[in-house]
Amino acid sequence: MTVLMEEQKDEDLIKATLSGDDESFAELVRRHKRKVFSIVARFARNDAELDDISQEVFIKVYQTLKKFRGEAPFEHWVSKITINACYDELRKRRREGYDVPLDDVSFSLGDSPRENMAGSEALEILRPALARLRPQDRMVITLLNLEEKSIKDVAALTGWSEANVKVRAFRARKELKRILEGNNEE
Amino acid sequence: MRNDLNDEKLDRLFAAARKAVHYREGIEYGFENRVMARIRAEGERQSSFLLWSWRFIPVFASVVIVLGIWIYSTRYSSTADLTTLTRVGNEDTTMVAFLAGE
Repeated sequence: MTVLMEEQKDEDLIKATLSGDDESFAELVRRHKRKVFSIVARFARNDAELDDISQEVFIKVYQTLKKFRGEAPFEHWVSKITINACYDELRKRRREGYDVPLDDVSFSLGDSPRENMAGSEALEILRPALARLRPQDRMVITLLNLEEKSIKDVAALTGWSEANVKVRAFRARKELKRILEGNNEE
Repeated sequence: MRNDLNDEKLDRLFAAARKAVHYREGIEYGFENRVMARIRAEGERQSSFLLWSWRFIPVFASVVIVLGIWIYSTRYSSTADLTTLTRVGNEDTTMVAFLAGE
């Protein structure tokens, strides 16, 4: 049964899920969870949050599966739902005042970033700085510079126009540089 | 502290961050089971709500009947109130006539 399911296309599994076969949906989750984790992990603050947001994404996928038209690959559709869930989470944090306080942000670039800088070291520098950006700025920087999406892809994923993405990317980069340079004065 | 950061340095920082493993693979273990359990729980919650709302139909019907009787009975009392109001209105007219010396 499992072997057969692995051979099935996403579209077939979607049809089976809509006919009431939940095991087919479990297979869809198995196939796409890594993609969802890799996006959510850019925004989640810990493993529990990563797990929770990713679960919410798949529950949303399950509840709105009927709306999937099949015009774009299923993975793109899931990515879009994931981006929306992450954006909602960032805005919720902002509303609830969960931003990183200025005093807690302490980092020094020194001679870094070196050519051979470790990824974890780079993340340690970037994470608190990204946490201080506005949700839309963080989203655009993450998608363009960390996920290496094109302007067109970011526009498609977020629903913003390409011109809007470009403007936001420019402003976000400028703001991130300002934060990283330690120049916190307005 | 002030760090000088040009575009090249920032791009190097992004490139290094991209290489980083940003979540533990262990978190993937049993993930689909957790998702399916939540979906099932959500489904059961919704179906039990529907079941309970069906069970409450006789109660809702009784409430509607009682409300109907109450509205019907208050029609008569509202007529009585109108009579009272008319009487009160007449008293006012009499009072005005008396004060005006008519």
